[in-house]
Amino acid sequence: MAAPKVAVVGAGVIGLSTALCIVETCPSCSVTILSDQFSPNTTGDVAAGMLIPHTYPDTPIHVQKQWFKETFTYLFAISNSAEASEAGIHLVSGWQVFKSTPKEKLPFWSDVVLGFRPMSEAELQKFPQHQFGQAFTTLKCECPPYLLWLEKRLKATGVQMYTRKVADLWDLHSEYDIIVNCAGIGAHQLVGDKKLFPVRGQVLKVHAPWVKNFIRDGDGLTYIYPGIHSITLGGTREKESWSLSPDPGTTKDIFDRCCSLEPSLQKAQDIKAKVGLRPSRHCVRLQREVLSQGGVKLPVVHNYGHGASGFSVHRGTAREAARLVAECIAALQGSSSRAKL
Amino acid sequence: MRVAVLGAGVIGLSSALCIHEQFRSLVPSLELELYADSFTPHTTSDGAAGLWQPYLSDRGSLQETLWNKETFDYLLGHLNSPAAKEMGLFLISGYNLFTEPVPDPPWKNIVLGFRNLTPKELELFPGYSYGWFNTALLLEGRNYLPWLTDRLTQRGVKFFHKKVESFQEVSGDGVDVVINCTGMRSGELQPDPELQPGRGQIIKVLAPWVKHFIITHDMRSGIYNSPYVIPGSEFTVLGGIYQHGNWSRENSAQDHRTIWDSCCRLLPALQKAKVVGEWSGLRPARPHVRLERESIRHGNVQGEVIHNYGHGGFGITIHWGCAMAAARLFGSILQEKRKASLAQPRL
Repeated sequence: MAAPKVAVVGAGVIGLSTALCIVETCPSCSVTILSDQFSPNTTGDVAAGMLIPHTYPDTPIHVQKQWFKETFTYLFAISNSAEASEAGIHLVSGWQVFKSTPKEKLPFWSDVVLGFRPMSEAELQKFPQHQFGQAFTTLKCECPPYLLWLEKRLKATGVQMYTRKVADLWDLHSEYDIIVNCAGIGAHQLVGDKKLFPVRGQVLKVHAPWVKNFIRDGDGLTYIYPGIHSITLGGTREKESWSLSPDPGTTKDIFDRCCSLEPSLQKAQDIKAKVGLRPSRHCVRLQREVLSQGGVKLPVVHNYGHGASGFSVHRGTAREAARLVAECIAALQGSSSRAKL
Repeated sequence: MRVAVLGAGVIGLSSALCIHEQFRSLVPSLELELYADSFTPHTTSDGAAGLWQPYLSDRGSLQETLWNKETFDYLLGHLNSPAAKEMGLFLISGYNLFTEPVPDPPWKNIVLGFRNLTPKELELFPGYSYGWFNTALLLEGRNYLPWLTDRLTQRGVKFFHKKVESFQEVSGDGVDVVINCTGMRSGELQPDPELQPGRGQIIKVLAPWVKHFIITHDMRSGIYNSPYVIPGSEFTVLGGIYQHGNWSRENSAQDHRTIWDSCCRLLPALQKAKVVGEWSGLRPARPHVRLERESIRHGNVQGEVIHNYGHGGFGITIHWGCAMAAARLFGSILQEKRKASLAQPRL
């Protein structure tokens, strides 16, 4: 077939990185991004963008590790290049501390991040309420810079981007050959996926430029992530909450919890509360589907449901999605040549 | 009892504070005065990045290593206090890079989490094949010196903007003890051929994505003559100049190029960093810190001087250990004066 027309629905970190991978693996494709939101209004813009994966219950660990490793390697190379500051990618070191010693002392990603090791007694003294900890160095993707950098690279390859709310994937079938669904939490309505649920996260973005190290409580709820222009303080994990308005009581609670980990944060300025809905699922939906209606077929590749690990695995899942798109193209070409017989 | 501290860099201010904290309640008549011709932000300490890190070898002095440790532990104790931000004190992690394996430094157990770099980490730094990672402290002079000044002012210490030309000038005026913290220009008060400038130059840039210090070492060209990058709370310091014997405090265009080119090679992203300032200063270099008492006679006046100068490029690193040592010397002077006055028969 002539240049396959691919529509990517969604312009968050998953949509943009998937579009980029499709362009990289299929130069003959014409890729268009359709989204009702672009940076700085995507879910990822609220997140700190730290490369510290969470675990999907229903995805094999070796797959999650492969996704994380691909993502880490990709971003590591950018962080080491002249583009690092524009792309918003930088290294950051710090500690994950536990109030009681965890059963699993070596998470699956411990050999992907840099310099992972248990904290020494002397290091733990800074955290009197915590008994055990791990020190390591990882990467952070600052948003909006990273998303804007992806958009810039996409535009340079000729990818078009349009603000458009897609209510139904079928609306696109006459204009596009393949649809890639990176709608994140929007997939709940877009494709009616009831296994997808929001996990509400409220964070604070504050000005405290003397904080150079990250600190994270092993429970995943309290964290301090220093970025380029602000420090992200977190957070909450509220299952099934759809509210995008910051809650003042939660703001105070987050601030207090973070100050008990890092007392100097009492002097933080310009405190702004933000909310994102993690598009959560027991496993990332990363699969092909062929929609069928009245004899018309519409190939779809789904790539959504990354929950709390979007940044950590985005590049790995984007590459997998691009492979699935290539399979769709091969299938279309196969059937179109059969149609010619 | 009148005590004059000469010099308002990190050494002078901290020595004054340490002595006042320890002795004011014991000696109600203690009057502390501080004389200097340069105050923050114009002192050598203000230009330094403020990273706590001693030189790689202890230069044969266990004493200096102990003073470094005392300083680190003192600062670490203040880290979680409400004063930390105002003091300009915070934790920072980072890298020391070498082109060949080197022995561990004497301070490896003073800093936190000291370890060798992994092969993957070394990929970040082409040209370097060995290195260390550790967490240390940063103490920014431009915040710490004003904080020290406030503490001293609250305690009633008097400040005089004045260049003292000789020890006798103050001892002859009724000052009992002089604390000589005149850093680079100590030689003007008393010639000291061992004190030489170690000229440094730095470029200040905005590079808020840099979260680690990176110190490279070239074992042939010597300490600080190899690029370093040290992120502060408001800007990042790029450096790598150490010129022994050079008294010039003018910024050199050639040194600027050396620093810029070598730091950008080390961290390519720095090419996009905005330059916001440049500074040169003279590290008061000496084979060992001069920290000792001396009695100076002038006519029939005997004055006691406590020298505390020659801290090279590690003044901030060692300052509190030296301040406490100076305070101990002051204590022994007090003890002698007590004994002497008790020995005087009351008529």
